[in-house]
Amino acid sequence: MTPPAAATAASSGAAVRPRRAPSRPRRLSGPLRPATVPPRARAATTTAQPGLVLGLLAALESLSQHRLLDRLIRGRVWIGLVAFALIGIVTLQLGLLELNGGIGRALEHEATLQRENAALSIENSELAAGTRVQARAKKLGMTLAPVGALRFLTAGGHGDVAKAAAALASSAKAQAQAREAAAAEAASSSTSGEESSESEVSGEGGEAAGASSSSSGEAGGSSEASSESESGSSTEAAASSEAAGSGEAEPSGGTTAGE
Amino acid sequence: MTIVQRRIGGLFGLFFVLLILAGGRTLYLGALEGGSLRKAAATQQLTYEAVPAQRGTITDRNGVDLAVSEPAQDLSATPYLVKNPLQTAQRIAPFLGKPQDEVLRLLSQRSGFVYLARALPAKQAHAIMAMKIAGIEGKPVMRRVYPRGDLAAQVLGVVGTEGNGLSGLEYSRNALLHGHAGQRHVVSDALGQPVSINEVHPEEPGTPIALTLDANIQQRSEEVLDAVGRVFSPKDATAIVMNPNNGAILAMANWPQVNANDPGGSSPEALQNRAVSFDYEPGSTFKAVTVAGALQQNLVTPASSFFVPDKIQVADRTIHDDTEHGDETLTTAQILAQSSNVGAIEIGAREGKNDFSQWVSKFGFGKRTGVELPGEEIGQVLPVGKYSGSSMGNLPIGQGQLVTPLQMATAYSAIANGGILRPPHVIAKVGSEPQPEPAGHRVISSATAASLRQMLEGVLAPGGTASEVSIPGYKLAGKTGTASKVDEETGEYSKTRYVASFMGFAPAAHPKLLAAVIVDEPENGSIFGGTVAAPAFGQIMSFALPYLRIPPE
Repeated sequence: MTPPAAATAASSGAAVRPRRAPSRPRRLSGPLRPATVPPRARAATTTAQPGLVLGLLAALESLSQHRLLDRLIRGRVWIGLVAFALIGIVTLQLGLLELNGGIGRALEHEATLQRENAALSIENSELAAGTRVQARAKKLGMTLAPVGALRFLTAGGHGDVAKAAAALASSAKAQAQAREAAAAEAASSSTSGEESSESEVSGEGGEAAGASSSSSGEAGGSSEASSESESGSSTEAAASSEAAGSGEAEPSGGTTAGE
Repeated sequence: MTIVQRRIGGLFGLFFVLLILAGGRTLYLGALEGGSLRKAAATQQLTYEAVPAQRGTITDRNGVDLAVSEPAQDLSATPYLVKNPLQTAQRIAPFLGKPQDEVLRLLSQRSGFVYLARALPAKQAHAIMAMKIAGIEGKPVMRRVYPRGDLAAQVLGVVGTEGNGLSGLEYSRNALLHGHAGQRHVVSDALGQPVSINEVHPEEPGTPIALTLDANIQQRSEEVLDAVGRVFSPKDATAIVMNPNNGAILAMANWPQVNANDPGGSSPEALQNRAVSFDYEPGSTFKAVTVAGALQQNLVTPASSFFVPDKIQVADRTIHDDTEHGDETLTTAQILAQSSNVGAIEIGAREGKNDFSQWVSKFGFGKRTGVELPGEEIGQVLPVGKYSGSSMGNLPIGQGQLVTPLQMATAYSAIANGGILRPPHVIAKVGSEPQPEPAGHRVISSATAASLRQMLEGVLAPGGTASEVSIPGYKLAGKTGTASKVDEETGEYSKTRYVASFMGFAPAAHPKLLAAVIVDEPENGSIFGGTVAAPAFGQIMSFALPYLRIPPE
């Protein structure tokens, strides 16, 4: 309940003390005078340090006896907090250990990859050696073209480009047709294969391959093409005739391969 | 005092005693035993691992690896820690690739340290380390491998056991290729598993280098030289293939061949790159330089006639032509085609010693070509002040001065490319940065170069000294050389020891490829440049021209 205004005024009036003159005169503006400290004040400054420490200790003591802290320590929340912190620390340590172990493994993996990479580089270089390629080509029946047999064409302006484009288009068309024919042949052979024995199927596949490579009329890698046709897979044979067809061999090569 | 209070007091006392004990133990371990324990921990748990830097790869112009680094280990042993040396030797010898008795001898040494193998491939090293034999340790290093073995071995050079280049490009470009090793601080647990890895400083791999060499042309050149070696049993031989228009060296072959993976198996002489280190008297191949100077000064034309007797007297010396003949009249072109010594001396005489000396210098003789290869000789060119009365009797025909094969190839490149002397180069790229092609300077006019090229075609034409060499469809040009070597005992020119050489290019009118073949002291019947070196030139060119898709003219 709010007290009446008069009562308030009376109680406040009773609390007012009479003003007294200050013990020390107010500072006036003027030149700075040398500081003179009275002996008593000097003694006070020397005893101020322990006082401050005691004050701090007292403050700490009062903090330790604070109700809020007391409630927190005595409460169950504190147990949870400590448990969470402990588990966190342990988890953090374990994570750190795992991370370091992971780094170790990653470094080992890096070394392994480095080793494998170097080994692959070496193998790649060895496999690309001209003598090896030449020997392999020789096994496949290939020979180096004599220098005099090589012909170089000179591009002669727009007409040649158009011709080349047309040749490429017709070649691609022929190859597509050959592929379709081979696929159709393979489909028909597989259909008939259901009725006949397996050996007959493979024989027909071989024929189909032969037909496809001769129809493309450009198969140059005779031994590759023939080996593919021997395998009995007409699709593979068509693919090989395609690959060979991109070369510059004589058309008769394809017929031989097919045969 | 209640019983609970007594118990609490007892517990407090107990814990206090335990605390005192723990404190005392801590003090003992930390202060009294601290030093030795710290040392033990440092050796058992803390290690500083060196991380070897991968040396830069060397590739050819098409990216084919010519020199690669792979991880390896230096395996060492502390013999007095190996408990059973005999059993250990039996177990590890197969992986070391050494006989058991040798390994046993190493393990039985009264020494604290012995190398079992340097740069052992990582696979074998890991197999040995997996045995966990006490006293055997491995240190990671990098091992240099040359996948093509002897291909361009003298150009690439070799790397020592400490990973530094010792010869060739490995030596001259060591700073680029080497890289910098890193260091790791590893803390391991009691089981030896790393629990903390800190990179003290990271390793910096070496910079890869791409060369102008072409592995296939290089291989073909080496095969051809090998055949020359088998047929003519020379002391040594070298071949250079280069693009005369930019100075890029496509092949630099040496015979005898050296396996770069086992340089110790070859003689130190075989390890030298003779293309840059072989000083020889060029003989008749030098006549092109003599004629070039005279043509450029308009002292002669290709059709200028010279009275050419069989021999000529210069001061106290009489110089003969190679084959005996009567007095005849030859044009400048014929002098070159037939390689007449007398004719070349007459052309040299028209130039005079001062101008001749200047032309020798202008074509780059007597100084390094500037190629990036180490050990390049400068040859030996006589200063004009030291010419004797007979000097102009032998210098114009390539005697009395020393040149290197690369100097000759560079000079012929200037004739081939229209008169510009370009420093040859063998490095195309450093890292991913293409290297700028060295600038050249004009030494003769393009017209003079064209005339000279036309004259040099005659050397391979009927009646020329290399008429048996031809490549169907291509016009070739070049010059043979058969130079007597100086007998060191007598100081006279030997009548049994020669240097056969051939410098040539194709297509003759607009050359795109140049090859030089130099065979030192061929035997077995033939000694001439036209029969020993020129066919080798033909074989190299007949592969390289179509391979590089250079069409005939």
